[in-house]
Amino acid sequence: MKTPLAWKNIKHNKTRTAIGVAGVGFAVILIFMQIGFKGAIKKTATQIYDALEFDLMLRSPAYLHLTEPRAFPRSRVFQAASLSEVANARPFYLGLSEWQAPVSHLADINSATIDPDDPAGQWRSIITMGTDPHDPVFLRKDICQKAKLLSDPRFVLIDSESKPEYGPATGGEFSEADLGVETALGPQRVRIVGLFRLGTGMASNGACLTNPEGYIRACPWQTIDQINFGLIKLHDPSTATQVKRQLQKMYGIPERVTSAESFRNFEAATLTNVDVEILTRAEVNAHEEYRWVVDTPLGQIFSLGVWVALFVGIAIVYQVLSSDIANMMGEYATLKAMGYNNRYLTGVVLQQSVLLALVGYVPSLLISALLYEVVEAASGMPMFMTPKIMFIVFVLAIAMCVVSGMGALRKLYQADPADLF
Amino acid sequence: MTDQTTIPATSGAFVGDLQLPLTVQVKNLNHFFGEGELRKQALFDNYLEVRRGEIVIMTGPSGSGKTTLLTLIGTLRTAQEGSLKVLGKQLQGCDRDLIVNVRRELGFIFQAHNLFESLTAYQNVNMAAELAGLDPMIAEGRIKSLLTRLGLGDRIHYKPKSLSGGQKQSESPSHGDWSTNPNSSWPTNRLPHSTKNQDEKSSPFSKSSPATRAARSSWSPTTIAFSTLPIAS
Repeated sequence: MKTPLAWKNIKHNKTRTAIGVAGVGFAVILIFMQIGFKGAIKKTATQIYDALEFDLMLRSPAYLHLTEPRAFPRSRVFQAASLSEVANARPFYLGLSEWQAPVSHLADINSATIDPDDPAGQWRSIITMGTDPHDPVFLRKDICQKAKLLSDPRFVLIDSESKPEYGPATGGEFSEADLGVETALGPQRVRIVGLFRLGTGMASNGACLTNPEGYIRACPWQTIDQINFGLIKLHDPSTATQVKRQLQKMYGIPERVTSAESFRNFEAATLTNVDVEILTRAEVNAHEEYRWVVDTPLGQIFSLGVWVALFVGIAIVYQVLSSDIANMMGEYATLKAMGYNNRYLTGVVLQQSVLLALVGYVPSLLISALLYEVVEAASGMPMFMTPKIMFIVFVLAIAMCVVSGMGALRKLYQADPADLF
Repeated sequence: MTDQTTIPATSGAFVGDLQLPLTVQVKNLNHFFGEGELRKQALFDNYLEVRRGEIVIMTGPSGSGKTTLLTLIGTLRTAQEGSLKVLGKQLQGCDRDLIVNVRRELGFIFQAHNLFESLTAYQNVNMAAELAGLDPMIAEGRIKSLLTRLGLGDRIHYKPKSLSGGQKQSESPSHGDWSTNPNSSWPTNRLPHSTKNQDEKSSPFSKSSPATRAARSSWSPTTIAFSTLPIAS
């Protein structure tokens, strides 16, 4: 077996290796965080849609984004239900309303000891959703179960992921202690009858769920006949594009190419005479991701952040590796003088780079996973460490180290051994 | 070397009537350092012939170009002008692969040891054995006997840090001494190098020095030694 020189070098000089690992680790954490932020933006974009049960979505052609969905006639949903391929077609209401943080938990509203930071009584905008309690539109069984409690328009379920500024009794998040609490939603009085856990990412700081009548009470500018989404479930989800075409014909929507990639080419002018558009789940997600990642400044900042982190990472890793190689230049020159060829030298340096990447990656992954938790708890951004992110960052870490190692090797390639001692 | 020599410096190296072949042949060799206005000539039209089995000792004042010539012959520096043949191969203007092959035939005792800090004495020598493609079992025996002969028998598995300066120097000649040529036993060709003022005991030319011991223990290496000091006796 050949002498594992790269491994011996890594093991031998512990200080140098520790500095290298710290440098690589820092770069990797930077990239992890930026990808996490970008992922949070993407997740924000589709978090609520991911929780809904549908194969095709009907919505207004004037739709802007989740919290500005605009409305269209409910009759379109009933029309869609007439197709034999359609298993069910349900209306879904969603809009922004105002939530007053409950004051009921304050023992004495006139007491001088009231905490000035207590949000009680303040108004916050809140995502309000309306669904039929007998036939809820959610995929998750636990939310559907809870929705059955919404037997009265005055009842609401509050998302326990909502921020503390919405006034939970415990001050942290909404819990059993808030059940039965009364407060105001829009111009009307409501009672919290239950909790659900969904989260809205960065679209809003809080969310609540009620039934359609309750939604109209909270958002009185809308009528029960004007809905925000029509959710169509098919017997066979693979027929989605075909059913979409049928529906377009039924609604009299002009034929045009609409795919996930071409949604940007929508021409508003062609849609003026129709009141509804039909999208598959992929189109909905692509549109929403585009809206959040490309259209919003937030998305652009984080997309750019990934690149910045990558370049900063390469700069750090290059500095660490090139000084590492410079320190060992005498030894590499000796190898060269003995008659080892450039391929062997490349092998040693690259092995050392990859080993450094591996040793730096593992602790960074753990630290980043922890930081994801901390950021999510502190800001409510949905940060998820997925295998895909782990893999991407792993490949990037190796690539960074290899590119930097190769860069640092150039001097060794060109110079005579006598100049390197 | 600034002092020009027109007659090839050689004593002949005869075995009976048979003259041994040339191992180093230097003709018209010039070498420059620096670029542009800073370009300075270090070697002026050098001639040298060394045959197998010869021990050549060169002396000269500091800055006279001993190291330059030695590193050129040792293939550690690229030849610029003139002719430089080592082991029958023209090194001036040759390609990288040829240089790599010549390097494998040479031993070079470095002034600054240049051992691998992360490897033990045994592993350091083994780097050269691996390069020569020796069978690991055979290499093990040779490395152990070599290091024992050089007085490092009890330090075989020590890293350079825990060796003394002299011990490190003993180890470093063994780096390049693994000829791939089946017709010659090792060590073959070595270039001990010392430009530092050293006392008699640690000088590479003293009776007890590693270079002398290694040179005596084999049958016909070419040895070229360089020093700033005139060699005593």
